Amino acid sequence: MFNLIWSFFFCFFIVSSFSQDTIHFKVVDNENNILTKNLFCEINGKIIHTNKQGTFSFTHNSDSIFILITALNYEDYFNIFNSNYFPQIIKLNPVYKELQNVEITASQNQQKDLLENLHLSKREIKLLPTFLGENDPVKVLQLLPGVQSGVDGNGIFVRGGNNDQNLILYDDVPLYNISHLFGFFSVFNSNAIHSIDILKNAIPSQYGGRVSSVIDIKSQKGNLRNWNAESNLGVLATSLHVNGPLKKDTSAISFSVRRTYVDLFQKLLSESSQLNATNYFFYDINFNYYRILNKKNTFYVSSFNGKDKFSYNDQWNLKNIFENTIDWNSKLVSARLETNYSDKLSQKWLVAVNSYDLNFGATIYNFGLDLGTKNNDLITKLEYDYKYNNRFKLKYGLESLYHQNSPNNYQINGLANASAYNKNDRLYSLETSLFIGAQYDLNPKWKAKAGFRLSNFNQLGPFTRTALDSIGQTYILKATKKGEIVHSYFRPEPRLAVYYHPNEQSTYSLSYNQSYQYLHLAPISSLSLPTDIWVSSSSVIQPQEGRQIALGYEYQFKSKPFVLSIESYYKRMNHLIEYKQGVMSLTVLNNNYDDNFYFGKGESYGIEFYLKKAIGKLNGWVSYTLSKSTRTFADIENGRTYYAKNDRRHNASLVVNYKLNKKWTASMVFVFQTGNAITIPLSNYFLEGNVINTYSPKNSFRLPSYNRMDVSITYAYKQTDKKESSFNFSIYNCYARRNPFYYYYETIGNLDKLQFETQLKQISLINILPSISWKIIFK
Amino acid sequence: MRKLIFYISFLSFVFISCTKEVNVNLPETDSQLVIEGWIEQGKYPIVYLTKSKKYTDKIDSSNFLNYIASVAKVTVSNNYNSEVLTLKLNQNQFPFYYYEGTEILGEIGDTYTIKVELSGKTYEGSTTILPSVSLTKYEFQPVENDTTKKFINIQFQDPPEVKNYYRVYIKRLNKDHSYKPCYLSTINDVGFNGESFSYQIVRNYSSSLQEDDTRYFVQGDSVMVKFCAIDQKTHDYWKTIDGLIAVSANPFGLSTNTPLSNFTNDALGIFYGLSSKNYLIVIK
Repeated sequence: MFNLIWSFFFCFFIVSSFSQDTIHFKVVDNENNILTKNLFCEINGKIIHTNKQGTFSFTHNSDSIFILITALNYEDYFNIFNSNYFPQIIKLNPVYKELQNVEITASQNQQKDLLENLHLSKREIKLLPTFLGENDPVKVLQLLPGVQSGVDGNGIFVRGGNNDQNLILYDDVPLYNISHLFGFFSVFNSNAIHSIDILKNAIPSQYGGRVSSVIDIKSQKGNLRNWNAESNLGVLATSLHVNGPLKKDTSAISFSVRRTYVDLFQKLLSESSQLNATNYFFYDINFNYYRILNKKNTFYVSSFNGKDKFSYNDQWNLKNIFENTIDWNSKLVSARLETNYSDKLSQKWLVAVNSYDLNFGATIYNFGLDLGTKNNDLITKLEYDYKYNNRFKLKYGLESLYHQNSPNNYQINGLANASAYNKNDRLYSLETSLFIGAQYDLNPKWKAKAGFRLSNFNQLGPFTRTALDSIGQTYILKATKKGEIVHSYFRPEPRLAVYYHPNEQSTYSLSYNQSYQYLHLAPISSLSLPTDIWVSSSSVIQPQEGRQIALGYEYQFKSKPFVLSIESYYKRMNHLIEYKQGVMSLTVLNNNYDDNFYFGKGESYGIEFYLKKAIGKLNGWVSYTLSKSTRTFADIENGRTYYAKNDRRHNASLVVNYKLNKKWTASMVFVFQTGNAITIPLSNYFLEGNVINTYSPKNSFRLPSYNRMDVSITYAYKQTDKKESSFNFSIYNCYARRNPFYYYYETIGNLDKLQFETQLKQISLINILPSISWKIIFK
Repeated sequence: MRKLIFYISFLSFVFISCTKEVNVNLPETDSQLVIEGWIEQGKYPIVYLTKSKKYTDKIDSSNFLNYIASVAKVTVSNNYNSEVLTLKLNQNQFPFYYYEGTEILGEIGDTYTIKVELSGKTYEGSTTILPSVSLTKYEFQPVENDTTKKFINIQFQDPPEVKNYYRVYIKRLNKDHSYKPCYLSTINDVGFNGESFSYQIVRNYSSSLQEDDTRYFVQGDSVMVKFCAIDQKTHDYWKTIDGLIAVSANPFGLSTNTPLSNFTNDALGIFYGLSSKNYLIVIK
């Protein structure tokens, strides 16, 4: 049982003694006492490796020893010992049984993980510079190879895919919108998150419903032994996290809350203040409970609620003619029962509900426009893990999602005959999948993983499809009653990965992934804003299809804590979706919700380089991706292939953390990306006194490259057994690079007076943004 | 102190955005001929000929003639006649020159063709004038609670059995030089074929090149409302143009649609026929 693999870990060690002494210790799994071998550890600035017997040995010259071990799937181990009482065995608590099983089945070589998934621990997330005083896990994800952001950080685009193609799971429940602050910030409070994994190769068959990647977020579970609390006071928001046992060794809770406070101060200003024109707040709440029912059963409850609300009105200038509100809210609650029937068989049963709704309101004079979109899901998932032996394991089960989708509802007020424009579509569908995945270790050199998922999507009634006759009269083409099937799809989703380890250092991998997506995010704007709308598949909107083949190589340096991975991929996507007009068309009446789209295909390929040093005084990573992503739509540009808007030829990032001493830690992030592909006006002409532009071919123009450096320094001014306190000072975009957010044109002068020109203007959103935050931890 | 905290938070919160003019190397584009021509029931055809300009070009008194096609031969024909239009001057607004007929009058049901010959190239298009539709009612709607500011709601009975397309123009007497299309000026009878329909007239900014005041009318305005029947191609063309104007410079709804011209040889613009009913409405 020594093939437990730890992929990411680091530990450091502070020794302060005047005499030298040698200490030996071992690290084991707390549940099964399995000895873990093949580990690196950093002690007092030196990196050491387990010897052949799996033992750490080190010499120290200090009275007290500070030790920290962070490893994938285990809770962070952190302690301070007197050198006279240093334990011979250190036990790590596993976090998730299911992942543990995956790990046990893996090869003994730790470097395989980078080729299967990229993992970020809470500690890694918290080491990086903050954005407005907040550690944003998604901002860290965007620094990994193959993962791109939109302009100024909004959106996640994996390997040339679209923003909607990532299955974002919070404790196994999908989230439809992870944006705070219009997408420049994510809903994930780093205090409430335990870890994030991103899977983009041969995605295991238990995951489905998106075609590019899986972003698997595990929330922080409560501590069964001790209560602890953590608070972060930043420029933008303040957060509080509490976790601890309800009944020692039996049940525990974890609770986090975060809220912005700009609006609270705003209330103190007079109504006529211009600063009162804009109002914004967001909050998020995470709650997690679990209880060990008996030796076999553990019960979990997890919930999340995040809301944003933006409003603008111009009452400050007494005109009072324009008001705008945008708010969105994501919620989920899940209950999970995990049962270990035996050493060989375990079961996980999940029941969950989630909801997402977005509302946009604009009022000009007495015209009002309200737009809304809503998604509600009822989710059940039953999953089994069966371990035949150490070399052959199975994972199989069933997943069902009942969707209610209101894609594009609008209401117009104040306009004559306004009710003719109102629309309120409610769509119902059931997505059911059977999955089975197997892993077989043929020998120490060869390993294979194969999975198969059969997904079925049924659009359900009530649904009425209309059509127009030759004179524009609407008639009912087909009406389907409640519960009846309107349209069905069955799709097979094979996944396969083969790993070859010719030696201890190297791993080669070859993988194939095929997946389907039944819900689609239709981009309304050219930016990746949270105002985009989800629509479900129908007889017109076919499921998106993604097929990817990837080839990878990974090298673990001997006696040095460096790991290098190189991966290349080729991906094809079918039935992608775009709005016909680029804007919602309010002048098309009584149409079907799915009449407004164009459908096309996409292709992307690239190569990713990733060099990581996980431990040491100086740690971090470098990633570089060379890639290309294109789209072809029969009805756009006459079928000519064009660049995807987030096609970036080069995408590089450098992440460095440096622990100066016990008190001071510095970190730095540098990002370089080729500019986005956009469409710009090339010439203009005049009609009825208006300026009309003619545009370049779609996405044929490149914005200037995006680059940015963030730096931060953290001062830990108090560190005791019971309490920790630190200040973090960060500067986002420290050299004030004016990265373009978007371009727009402005006309200047009066044509009738023969003075006229047009100018192209660039909006840069974030110049330089310093922030400070104070963190305090009670243990 | 509380205010200070607020200001610091607010500045951080709204970010420190900035705007600057950018000079980009645009690919070279050829200037295209733009034809804006129409023939109205009972009136002579009118045609404006201009040329598109490169995005970065500035127009002033020294070069404006480069963007006007004043030496073209413009011929309009119906089934019986053909005439070459005459170049005329309109000092009030750009492009200052236009072509107008003196023989062929627009008639409902007739089809008209246009031929523009310029610099050795020929551009052709055609259109039909469809029967006009009358308004059945109009009324005023106050803006918010201010009774001096009004919108006009018009109502009409859409003819059954045929598809109908409409466009609405307005002109405020003593304020506007000419008829201007109103905001989102096109109407399509999808959804109310054969039924009575109400439409709210919202003023368009009189030109995207001039500063303008409001979208409503004020008490005392004398407003000429021109309610026109048009064909589908004309409707689709102006609807696209309306959309481009409505979302211009707005990244949240950027539209780069290309309006479909009904001319040959890559000319921009449209030649369209219209029949109208005209009403004088005094805002009370």
